[in-house]
Amino acid sequence: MSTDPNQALKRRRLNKAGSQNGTLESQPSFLEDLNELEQFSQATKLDDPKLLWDRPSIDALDPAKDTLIFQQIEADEYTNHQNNTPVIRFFGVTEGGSSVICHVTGFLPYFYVPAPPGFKLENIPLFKQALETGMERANSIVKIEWKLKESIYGYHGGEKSPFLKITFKEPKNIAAAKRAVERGLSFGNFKDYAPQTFESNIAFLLRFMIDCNVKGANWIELPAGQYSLRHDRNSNAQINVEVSYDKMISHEPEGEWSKIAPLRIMSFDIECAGRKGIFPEAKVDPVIQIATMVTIQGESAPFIRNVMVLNTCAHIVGTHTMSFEREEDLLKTWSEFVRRVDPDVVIGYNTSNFDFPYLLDRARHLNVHDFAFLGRLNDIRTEAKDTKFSSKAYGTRENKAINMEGRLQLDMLQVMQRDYKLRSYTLNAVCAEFLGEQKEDVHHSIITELQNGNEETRRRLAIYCLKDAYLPQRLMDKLMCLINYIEMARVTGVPFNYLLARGQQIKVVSQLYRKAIEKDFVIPAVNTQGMDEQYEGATVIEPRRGYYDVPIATLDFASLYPSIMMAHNLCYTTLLTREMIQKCNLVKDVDYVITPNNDSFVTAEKRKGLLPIILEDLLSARKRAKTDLKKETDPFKRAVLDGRQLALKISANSVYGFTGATVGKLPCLQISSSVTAYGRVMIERTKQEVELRYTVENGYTHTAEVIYGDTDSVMVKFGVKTLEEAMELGKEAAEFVTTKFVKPIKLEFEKVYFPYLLINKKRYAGLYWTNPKKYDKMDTKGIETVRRDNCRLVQSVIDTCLRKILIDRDVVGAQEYTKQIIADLLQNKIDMAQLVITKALSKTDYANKQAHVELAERMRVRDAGSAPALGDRVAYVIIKGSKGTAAYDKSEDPLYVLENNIPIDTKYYLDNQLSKPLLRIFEPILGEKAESLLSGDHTRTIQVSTPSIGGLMRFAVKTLTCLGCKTPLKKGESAVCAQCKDRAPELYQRHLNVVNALEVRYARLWTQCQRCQGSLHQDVLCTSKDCPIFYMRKKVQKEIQDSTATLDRFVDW
Amino acid sequence: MTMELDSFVIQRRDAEVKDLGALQDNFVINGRNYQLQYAHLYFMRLMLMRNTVLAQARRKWGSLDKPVKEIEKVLDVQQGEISYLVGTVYMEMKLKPNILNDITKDHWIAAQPERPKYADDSDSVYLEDESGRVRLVGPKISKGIFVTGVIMGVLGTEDKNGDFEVVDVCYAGQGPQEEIRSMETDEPDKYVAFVSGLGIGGTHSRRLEQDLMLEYLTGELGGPEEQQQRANIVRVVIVGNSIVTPETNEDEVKSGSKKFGYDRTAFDAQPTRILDSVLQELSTSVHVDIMPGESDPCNVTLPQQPIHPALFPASRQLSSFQSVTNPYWCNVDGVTILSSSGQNVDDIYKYVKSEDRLEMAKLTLQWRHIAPTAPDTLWCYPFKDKDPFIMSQSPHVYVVGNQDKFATELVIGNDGQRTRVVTLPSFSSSSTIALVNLRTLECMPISFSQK
Repeated sequence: MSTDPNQALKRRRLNKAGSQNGTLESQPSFLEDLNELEQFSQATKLDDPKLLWDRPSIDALDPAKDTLIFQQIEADEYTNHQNNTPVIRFFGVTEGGSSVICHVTGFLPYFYVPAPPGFKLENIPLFKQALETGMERANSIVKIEWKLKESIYGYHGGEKSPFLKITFKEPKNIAAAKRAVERGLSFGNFKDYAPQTFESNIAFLLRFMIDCNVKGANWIELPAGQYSLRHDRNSNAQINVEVSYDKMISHEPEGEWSKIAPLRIMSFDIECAGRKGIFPEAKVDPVIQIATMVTIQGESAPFIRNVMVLNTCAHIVGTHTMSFEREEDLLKTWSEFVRRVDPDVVIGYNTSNFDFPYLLDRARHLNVHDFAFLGRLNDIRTEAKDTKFSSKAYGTRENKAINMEGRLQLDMLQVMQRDYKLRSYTLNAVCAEFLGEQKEDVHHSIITELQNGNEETRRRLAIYCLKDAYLPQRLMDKLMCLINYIEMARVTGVPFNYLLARGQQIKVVSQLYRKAIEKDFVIPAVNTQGMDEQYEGATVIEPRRGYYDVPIATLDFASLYPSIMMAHNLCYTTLLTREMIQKCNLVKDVDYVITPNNDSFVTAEKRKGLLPIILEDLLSARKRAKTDLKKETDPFKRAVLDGRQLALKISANSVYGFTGATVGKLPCLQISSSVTAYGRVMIERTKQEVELRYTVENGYTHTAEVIYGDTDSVMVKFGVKTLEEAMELGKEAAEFVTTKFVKPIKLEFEKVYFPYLLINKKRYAGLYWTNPKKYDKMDTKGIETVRRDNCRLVQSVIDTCLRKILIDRDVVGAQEYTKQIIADLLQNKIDMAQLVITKALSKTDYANKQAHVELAERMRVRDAGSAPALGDRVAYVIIKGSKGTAAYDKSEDPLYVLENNIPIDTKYYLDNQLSKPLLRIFEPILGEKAESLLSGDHTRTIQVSTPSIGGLMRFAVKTLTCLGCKTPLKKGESAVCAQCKDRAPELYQRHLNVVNALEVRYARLWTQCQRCQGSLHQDVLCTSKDCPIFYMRKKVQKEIQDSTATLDRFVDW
Repeated sequence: MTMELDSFVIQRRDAEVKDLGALQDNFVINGRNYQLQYAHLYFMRLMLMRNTVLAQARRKWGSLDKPVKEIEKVLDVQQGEISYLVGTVYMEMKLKPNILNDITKDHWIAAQPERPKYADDSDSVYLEDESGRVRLVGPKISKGIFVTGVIMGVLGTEDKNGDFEVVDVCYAGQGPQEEIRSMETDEPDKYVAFVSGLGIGGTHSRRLEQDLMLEYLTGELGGPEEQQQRANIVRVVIVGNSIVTPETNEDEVKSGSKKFGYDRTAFDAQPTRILDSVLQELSTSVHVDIMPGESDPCNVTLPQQPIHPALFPASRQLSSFQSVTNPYWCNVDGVTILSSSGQNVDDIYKYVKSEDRLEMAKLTLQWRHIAPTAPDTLWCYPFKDKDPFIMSQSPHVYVVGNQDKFATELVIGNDGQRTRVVTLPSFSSSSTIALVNLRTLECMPISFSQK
C-alpha cells in the first residue's frame, strides 16, 4: 500500500472537527462519514495474512561490488566433507532484516605443549610422527611450530620458554592428541614425555572467536571482493556466503556497532488435550492449538498474530485463525510457518522442557516427517536432548536442550529461574510480579472440555492460548532480557547461547584467553577433580543487635573483591612459589608481598597481573557506559547501555569466583583465599580507624561505634541525631579511611539507615536515605520471607510490621497490628489465600512422607480427575487434627476445606509460621517483652468453624439456637428466644451488616474475575491458585449462602 | 382516613392501584443462590434486548441509500465491510476500582482513594457478545456517553488494527407504553408525592422541615382550601435513605482499650423508631410506599428487598402502609411509575465525565435499562434467567431519588411515549419533595423551610 489509510482518516477527522462542534449528528453528515468509511475500507480489504510471513525480499548481492555487513547472532562449526576441514558457520541478520548464513573457512584448531628440555627444531618431525601414532590417526596434524610463550600459572621470572604449537586438521583431533600427550610420548631421545597440555580444553568455536576477535552477537563485515556467494540448498537464508577467516572484519561492539539488527522474535504457546488427572503424554494426547506472535526487535506490537486450531474455531478480531481437520496438517503447517517466518529468536514459557519436546514427540508419533526441520538448516532435525546443568551460582537443573540451528532460544522460565528469586515461577506468578497483572488460568481438564465443545469454546481457548503466547514477549520487553543478554555476550565475548546453557565460568575463560593471547601467555588445561578444600569466607563484625532510632551511616567498599585483586596485583601470572622467590632473589614488600593468607604475589611494578588488567578494563568500560548512559536520551540506546554496564559489573564480580571454583577450568585458591583474607583485614581495619578517630576526646560530639560489618560494608553509629550530620561524618570517614588503603580500593559513603533494625548477622532492615530530604526505600536483608513453605500471611505481616516500625516509626502501631492479625487468625478471619502453602509435586516417591505428596494421594482417592498430577503444584492448608496426627497428615486442599468448613489449625500458623519471624523483628526492640505479642487478650477470642463432615458430626443433630444467647429455640421461634426478643432489631442489624459486607465482596470479586477473563457473557473458568482472590471468591460464595440463611431466620419478631 | 374540621369533612381521594405482575415481582428474590456467576445476567440481558435493538438499528440504518450489512455476531465483523451489529458495551477504565489492587496492597498502602469520578481519557469502549469483543473507535465514541452493560447497536467497519470504526450508534429506545386513561373533566387532578433521603439519625436530618412536610402531606397545614388540595395527593412514595445506619465496626478501638470481637452496644435503635412513628403518622392519612435506599437497614445489592416490616411495629399495623423494593414499579390510576433510590444514576455518574444527572436518567430510559452498570460496578444479585432491570415498559413517571438537585423533563419517545423524568434531591439536604400530576404528568417541587 502506498499511502497509509489511517493517516488519511485522521486528517479527515481533524478537518471536520470544527464544523461539527456542538451540533447534533444529523443524517447527512453521518452519510458523509459513511461514504468516506467506504473508500477507506476498500483500501484495507484483507490481504492474505500469510503474505506477512516471509522476510521482505531483497535484490541479489554482487560480491564483487557489495560489502556485506550483518550482526551474527549464532555460530556453529561443521566439517566440510570434501576436504575434511572445519568450517565456522555464522547465522545473522543484516540491518535491512535479511537473513544471512556465512561460512568461514581456513581456521584450524590447535593447542600447545611445552617443548621438553633439550628439544630442537629438528625434533619436530619425530615428535609429529610419535603424536600421530599415539593418536592412532595419520595425517591429522597440519603443522607444528616452535613458539616462545609463558604459562599463565605462576610467576616465572618473566622469562618465556619454548612451546610447541600443534595445529590439527579437525577439531576432534584435539581431544585425541591431548590424551596421547598425557599418556606419554617417546621419540628420539625423549622417553615418556607426558607434559601438561595448554589450551587444549577450549571449544573450537570459542577458540575461533577469541583468535579472530569475534564477540557474541557483534557485527561482521565482509568487504566487497573478499567473499563469494554459495548456491547450496542447505538453508533457506536469503544470503548465503563464504569467506576466509582472515578476510572478514569483526567490529568491536562500540559506538555505531553497538546497534542491534531488526531481529524477528517469535513467541508461542501450545495447548494439548490431556485426559483427566494425567499429565499430557505426547503418544496419546493431541496438540490442539498453537498460538504464535512474531515481533520485530524494538517494535512495540507483534506484526503477526495467529493461532492454529484443531477443528473449527470462530474468528478472532485482529488474529489470523487457521482451522485444521487433521492434527498432522496443523503440525505440518506450523513447522512450515516457522521456516517461512524464519525467526531469529524463539521465546516462550517452559518451551524447552515442554512445548518443543511435546511437539517433536507428537510429530514423530503421527509421522509428520518434515516437522522437525525447525532450524535454519534443511538437513538438521530439531531434537530434544536431556542435559544436566550444574553451576555453583544456579544450582543443578535438569533440562532438555533443543537444537535449532541459527535461531536463538530464550525460554523465559529459565531466564526467570536464573535471574530472579521468586516465590513461584508459574507464568501467572511471574506476570503478577513483573507486569502487575493477574492471568486467567484454565485448568487442563477444562481445556479438553473447551476443545470438545463448539467453535465458540475453541475460540475461547484460542484467546487464552494467544494471551499465553504474548506474555513471554511482554515479559522479555519489560525486563529487557534480550538486550541485556546480548550485551553480556558482547562484553564477555561468548556466543549468545552459552549464556543460558552454561555457567559463569565460561565467560571468565573467554576473557582470560582473549587477554592471554594479547600478552603472549598460554593457559594450562588443568584436569580438575573436585577438591574439597574450603577457604574461609568473608568476615562479619559481630552485630550489636537492636533497634537504632538514630542515623546509622553505612560505608561500603566499591567493588571490593575486584579492587583487592587490582590493588594487590593478585593473579595467576603473579603468584609466587617459595622456590621462585629464592631463585629470583626477590625482596619482600619491594618485589613481592605476602597476603594475609600467607601467599606471595609479585608487585605490579615487577609485573602487572592479567586479572587486574581484565578487571581494570571491565570497570573502566563500566564507568564509560555509565557516563554515556547519563548523556543518552534515546530510550532504546539507554537500554543497551544500561544492559552493558550491568553486564560489566557482573563480569567483574565473577572473576573472583572463577579463581575459587574448585571444579573449574583454572582454580587458584591462593588468589581467592587471599582476596577474602584481605577483605577481612580491611573490614577490621575500617572499624579500628573509625572508632579511633571519631571520639569525644578528638573533639567530636559523640564517640562513634561500629555496630555491624559484613563482607564489604561497615555500619557506623556516629551518635549524631540528624541525617545531615550523619551524612557529613560518613562522607568524611569514607575519605579518611580510603587513604589508609592501597589504590584503587575505595571506601564509599552511600547511604544512611535511619531507623535501623539490626536483628542478627546478615539480617537487618532499615530505611535507606541517600539525601536528607526523602528516603529512597525500605531496605531489608535476610528477612525476606520468600521461602515457599511459608504462607503469604507471614510475608505480608512481616512486611507491614517493618513498614510501620521503620517508615511510620510507630512501634506501638506495629504491635497493635500484629495483635490484630493474630486475633483475626484465631477468629478465623484471615483469608484462605494468605494461609495457603504450595509445593510442586515433582516425583512420586519421596523418601519421607511429605504434606503435599500425602494430600495429592488423598485427593486422588477422592476424585482422580481433579487431583494434582505430576508436575502440578499442590496447594494446601494445615487443618486441625486429633492429637498426635502427623504434620503431613494435616494438610488439606483449600477448596475442600472451604466447602466442608474444616477448621484450620490456627495454632500451627501462629507457632510454626508467624511466631519466629515476628519474634525476630520484635526482640531487638522489645527484648523479652516481645513474647507478649503471642499471648494475651487478643488470643482469647477464638472462632472455630464447625466441620460439616467427618468425626462426631455424623451423630450430631442440628438444633437451632437463639442468635442472641445460643439457648436452643422452642417451637415457633426462628431467630431469637423469648428473653432476647428485645434485642431482635440489634441482632437483625448485626446479621444484616454481615450479609451486606459479603454481598459487596461477592459482587466485587466475581465481577473482577469476569473483567479479567475479558468476557462478560461467559462463565469464569479460571482456577489460578496463585491469584489472591481465587480462594476468597470461593469462600465468599459459601459464607454468603450460610449467612443469608441465618438472616432469613428473622421471619418476624 | 378522614379528618374532621369544623364539621367539614375532607375526604382523601381514592386511586386505583393495578398489579404490574412480573415487572414488579421480578425484583423480589425468593431463595438466594450464590453459586451463580454474573455471566448469566449479561447473557440474559443481551438475549432479551438484542432483537429490540436490532429492530431499532434496522429502522435507523436499513433504509439508507447504501446497503449495509447486518451482522449477527461480533466476531463475524469483516475488515472493510460496512455493517452494523448489536452487543453489550464494556468499558475498560484504568481508574475503575479493582479489588485486586485493594487486597494485594493489603494493610499497608491505603486503598485507592475514593474518587467522585473514575472516567479518564484513556478509557476504551468495547462491544461484546457471547462470541467475543471488539474495540470501538471514532469521534462518535470519544464524544459519547457509554457505560458498561448497555445493549447497543453500532454502524461502521473494522479498521486495520482490528478496531471497529463507528459512525453511528443506536439503543433500544423507550419501551411501549399504555395510554393514560383520561379522567372525568370536572374532577380535580390527582397527585403522587415523592420524598427521598429523610436521613433520620444522620447529622443532616431536618426535624423541623420534616414536621412541616408531614403536616403538609397529612393535611394539617393550611386552610380548608389547601387541605382540599392535599386530599388530591393519593399516594406518597418514600424513595430511599430514610434513615442513616450508623457504621458498626467490629473490633473498634474504644476509649483506649481495644475490644476484640463484636460489640453490641454500638447499635442504636433510635432512628428506626423515629422513622416508624413518621410512617405511622403518614399512613394514617395517606397510602405510603417505603423503598429502601443505600443507607437503610436493608440488603445493599440491587434490587433491594423491602425493609423488614418488623422494624416498623407501629406502621405495619396499617393497611395503607407498604414496604416495597428498590427499584419499584407501581401503577396508580393507570399511570405507571418507576422509582429508584438513586444508586443506578449515582453509579453511572462515577464512570462518565458528564455532571448532568438528569441526562443520565434520561439515557437509562433510552437504553431501556434501569441499571446497566450492574453488576460490573453497581453491586447486584446474580440473576440466572432474567434481568429485572430491563424497562420492558416505558413508565409515565420515572423518579430517581437522592440526587444533587431537583430537575425534570418530559421525555417524548419515538412512538409518542410520554415519560416524566425527575431527579429528586434528598430531603435532608434540600427540604424538597416532588408532586407529580397524574393527568398532565406535570411535576412541581415543594420546599419547606422554617421561616
